[in-house]
Amino acid sequence: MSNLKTVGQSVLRQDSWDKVTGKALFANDFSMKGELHIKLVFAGRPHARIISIDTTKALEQPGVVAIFTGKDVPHNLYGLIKADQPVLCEDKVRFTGDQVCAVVAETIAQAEKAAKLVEIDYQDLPVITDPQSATKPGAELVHENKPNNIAHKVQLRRGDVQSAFAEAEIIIEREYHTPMQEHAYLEPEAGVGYIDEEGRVTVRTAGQSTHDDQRQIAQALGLPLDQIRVIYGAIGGAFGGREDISVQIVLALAAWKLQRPVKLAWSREESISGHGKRHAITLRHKWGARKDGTLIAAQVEAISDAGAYLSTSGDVIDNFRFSAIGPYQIPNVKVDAAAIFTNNVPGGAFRGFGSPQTAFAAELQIEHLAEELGIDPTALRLKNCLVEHALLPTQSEIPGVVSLPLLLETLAEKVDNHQADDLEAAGKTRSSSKHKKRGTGIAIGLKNSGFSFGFPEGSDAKVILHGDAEIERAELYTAAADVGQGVHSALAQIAAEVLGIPISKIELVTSDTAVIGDSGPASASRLTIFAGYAVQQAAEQALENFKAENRPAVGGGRWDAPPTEKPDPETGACFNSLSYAYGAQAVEVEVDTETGEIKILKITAVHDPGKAINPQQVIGQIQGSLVQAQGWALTENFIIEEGYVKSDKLSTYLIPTVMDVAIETESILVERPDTFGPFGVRGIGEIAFVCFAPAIISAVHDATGVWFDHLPLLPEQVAAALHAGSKQ
Amino acid sequence: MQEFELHSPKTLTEAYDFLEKKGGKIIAGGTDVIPQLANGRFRTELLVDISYLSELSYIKQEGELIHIGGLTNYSLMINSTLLQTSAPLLVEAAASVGAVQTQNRGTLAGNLGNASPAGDMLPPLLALDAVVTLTNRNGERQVPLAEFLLGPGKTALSQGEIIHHVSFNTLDPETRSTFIKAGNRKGMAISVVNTAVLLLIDSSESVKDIRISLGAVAPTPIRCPKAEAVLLGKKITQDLLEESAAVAAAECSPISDLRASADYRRHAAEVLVKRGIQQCLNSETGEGS
Amino acid sequence: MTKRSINLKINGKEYDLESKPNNTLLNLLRDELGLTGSKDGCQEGECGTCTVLLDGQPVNSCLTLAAQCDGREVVTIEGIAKNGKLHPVQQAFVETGAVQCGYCTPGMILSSVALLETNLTPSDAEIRTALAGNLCRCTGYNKIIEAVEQAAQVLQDE
Repeated sequence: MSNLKTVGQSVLRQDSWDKVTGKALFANDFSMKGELHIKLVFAGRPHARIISIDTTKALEQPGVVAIFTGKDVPHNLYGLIKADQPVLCEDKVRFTGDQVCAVVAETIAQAEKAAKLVEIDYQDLPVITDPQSATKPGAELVHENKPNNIAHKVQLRRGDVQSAFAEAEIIIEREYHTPMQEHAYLEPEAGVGYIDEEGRVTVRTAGQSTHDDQRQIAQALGLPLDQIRVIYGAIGGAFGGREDISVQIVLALAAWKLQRPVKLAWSREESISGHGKRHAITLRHKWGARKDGTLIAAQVEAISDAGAYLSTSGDVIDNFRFSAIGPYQIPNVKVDAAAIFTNNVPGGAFRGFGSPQTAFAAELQIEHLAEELGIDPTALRLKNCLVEHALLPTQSEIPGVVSLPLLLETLAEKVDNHQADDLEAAGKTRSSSKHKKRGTGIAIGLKNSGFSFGFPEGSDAKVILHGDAEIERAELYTAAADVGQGVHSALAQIAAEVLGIPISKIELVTSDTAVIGDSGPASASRLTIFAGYAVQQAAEQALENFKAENRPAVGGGRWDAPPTEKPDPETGACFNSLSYAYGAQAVEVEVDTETGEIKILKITAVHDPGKAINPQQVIGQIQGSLVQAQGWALTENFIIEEGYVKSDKLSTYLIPTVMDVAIETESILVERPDTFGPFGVRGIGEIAFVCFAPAIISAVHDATGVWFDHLPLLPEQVAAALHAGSKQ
Repeated sequence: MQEFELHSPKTLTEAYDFLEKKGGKIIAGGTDVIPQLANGRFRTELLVDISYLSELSYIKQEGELIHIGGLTNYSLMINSTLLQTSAPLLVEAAASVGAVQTQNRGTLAGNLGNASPAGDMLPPLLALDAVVTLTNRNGERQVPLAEFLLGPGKTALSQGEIIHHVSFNTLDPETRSTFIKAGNRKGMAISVVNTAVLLLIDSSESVKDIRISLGAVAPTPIRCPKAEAVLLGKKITQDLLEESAAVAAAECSPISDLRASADYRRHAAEVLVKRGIQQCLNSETGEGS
Repeated sequence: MTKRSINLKINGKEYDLESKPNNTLLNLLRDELGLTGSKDGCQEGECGTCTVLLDGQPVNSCLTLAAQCDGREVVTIEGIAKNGKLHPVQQAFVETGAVQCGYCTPGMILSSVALLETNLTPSDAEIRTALAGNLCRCTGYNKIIEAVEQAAQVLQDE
């Protein structure tokens, strides 16, 4: 391990040359000769029964080749976890982004014109917008077979919270609200469908798992899996938002029915209204502690807005079993969480998968407790945070190397030094007026890697070695989706390390179901670990075969991860996850107490990647996560009124620009190789998002003395709260 | 994008003739019109592209007057040494519009013609008492900017007319000025409120000239005559300054929209006007802001 | 719709084209000339992924009608590398890890190239101002700023 040659190096990404020259082909950059164009007819209304669909006029338009409706889809339901969403709605629409018809024409202009002439007669239904009232008796049902609009419920019981609360010397009880978040990946959904040279229905698009897409297309079209092929080119960001199907099934359907290439590209507005969002969640927390700060009980109730379809809403709250109380040891825990159907845009996967929401509440609970008890928040965290062999709320021991206390101590040292520096520099470098107040806040967090809770986990990979006496080149086959995080380079580094060859000899063959087995999705901070293990195994086998004089020398196949456990339905007890990433962050903000504007001045982010396969890319993940979390916390105001998305443009949904981000961001890697993961690697894709929002809230409190319990902190709301505070 | 016919006159005369006979929506840089055509918020059958009339791109001084041609883009205004010295608040405003890409395309006439309540060039030009010169085949007419702006997207421009240029008087060299905007983001911000303040103080330290304007707080950007009156002829004290800002806020009639509530706009207007005056005072005494 | 004939230079090459009035420069580049390096991210000039240089100045090609480019010169990302050699800005983006998903990259590079054409010693604030019209959702911008600084250094040394 100490003589690593490629792993641990900031190897330049293999995809960057094509990306800086414009050669990289993203989903909408790829065209086929003679391709037809699809324009979708979206519902455009949040809840309605479809009385009739009349395509007569539209079909008469010049250039129109076909118009597909739900009747054309053999099995008209799909879903990543459970098939509950129509490919094309037939009898009912449940959110504005539901798809009703696919108009196919020779040109996109013809398709767009004809799409406007499709006549759909709707009978509007009462619109369910609020998960709190959606469960009340008599509320309109989004899905007729889901009483009280309950999509999923989860509970956890550890110890006896009632007795513990009776014993507690202090109780903190508060409610928190976290908003929806739009992924705003810069590439809107697009793709091409065609019949390949072997007669397979093929979709070339951008997603997070070629094989999840393939499975859902095959199921909807009623075709065998091997008759469907999914290929990814360059992918313009994902962040969880491409886990669910968008254009894939419609493209496959049209290509299959028409036996011609077809193209479909969503506009930005269609993208924002059409794909799932980070769940808006209301969290009610009651924590009990002793006067010395020892946490003894926590009760959490959470209501999540699942939106119109299940997507991964159930899995997001399943994770609350271990994440609801943040990275703390609490012997008595009671968690009740529910995901509720509404007519809003579905909630789905987004970087952190529920953990940013739970961390937001848990970290602020700790801050309130520290304030009430007069204990330093860092000390209070150190007293209660997870350490090695500690028990999680699932009553299983946290596995591996638990570096959280070390990260927090490292951070605390840094922040103390900074503050000393700042005092010295005050007045010299940083101007400040009486209306600009500064404060610092910290937060810590954990994020599991891999699916967890008994879901089979693992990955395929294949390595083929060519050469005579020496390896001249190595083909590495992986379906791992490089959504921008750089996983292809990381996997190539792992292969090169095992094979003992320079990375330039690795040839990547990626993301094509026709030639590569399933690696599982680019999600849950899992690929470098789980696809990494499969690549390591494939490379080791290939190397053995190479040494045994087999030419070409092949290795690979399935690598299965050790199992995790399904939770006990009553108590939630189980061994839930194999691996965790940890983080500790500090942020210094400046609040304009009159306008309410918040400026991020400096960020210190301390993380443990276990072993940084590629330090440059690890830091890229941290920096990107921080700014995305800053957007969630400060500027990204997802507005949905009566089911209609109002912030459906990048001019109304404001992600941070380069002018908005901190002048100074320090990312500190503290590498403590984990006991699980190739080379001790941990998943780093999400953790830096998890801690940041609560750190900002604490910093704003430090600056102004006002606590916020919701996001985003728009200038308007900050100004109003400070104004109200100053009147008291 | 929707279909339309496009005419691109190469001379002003050709433009006047065409506009008078056929009408059509005028487009120059396209930064406001194209997105509206693309998403269907605005529909037209005919677009008249005047972007080739390069003779309308200039910034020049004639005697006491400064003229800015209608097709002068934001980048030219930002980099104009004449404006930097004689009307720095216009430079500040131009630099706050969109980003480099839009500053290279968007024009002054576009900002005027679009007549957005939040248009960033408008409060400074109102404060400068700017006059808009509209021309057609028969000649020209001068319209004070305050009379040119009639409401959101509505102007005094008649069919056949072009926004030829905008003029304003040079200022007393002792005049201090500032432009400030509040937005929901620091980069590419659309103003939630913007303000321009001009201040001239005489040798006896009393206010000789004060002009305060606000944007995004009414159907059109407004001047605040009552707030100006609070200070005119007086020596500015903290109390008077705050009173003037409060009066300015009371002169607003803002709406609530996706970007902010009416209440916040009124509040921010008061804060920005107060800061605008303060900044002018500070810059005069050389304290910096 | 009456088609318009336009003559323009793209990446040094002369083109005589017929274009529909409602064709944007972006559509012309992508759909008719196959220059897909310029991206389509928002259709409202907000994201900057369609940035090209028009007579040397960065503009949003989604907000520019093709018919407005008669007699003008356009440079796209495909025209930045010369003789198979990356431009120092491109090289710096590769080396500093400023590229993640890559969708913002062409626009970012063109804005950076335009900045460094006129300013070889840009301050942090000047770099940010030059890139304010280019959104990135992956990198947090840190490494992009680093790349521009590195490229500026290389160009100064040349």
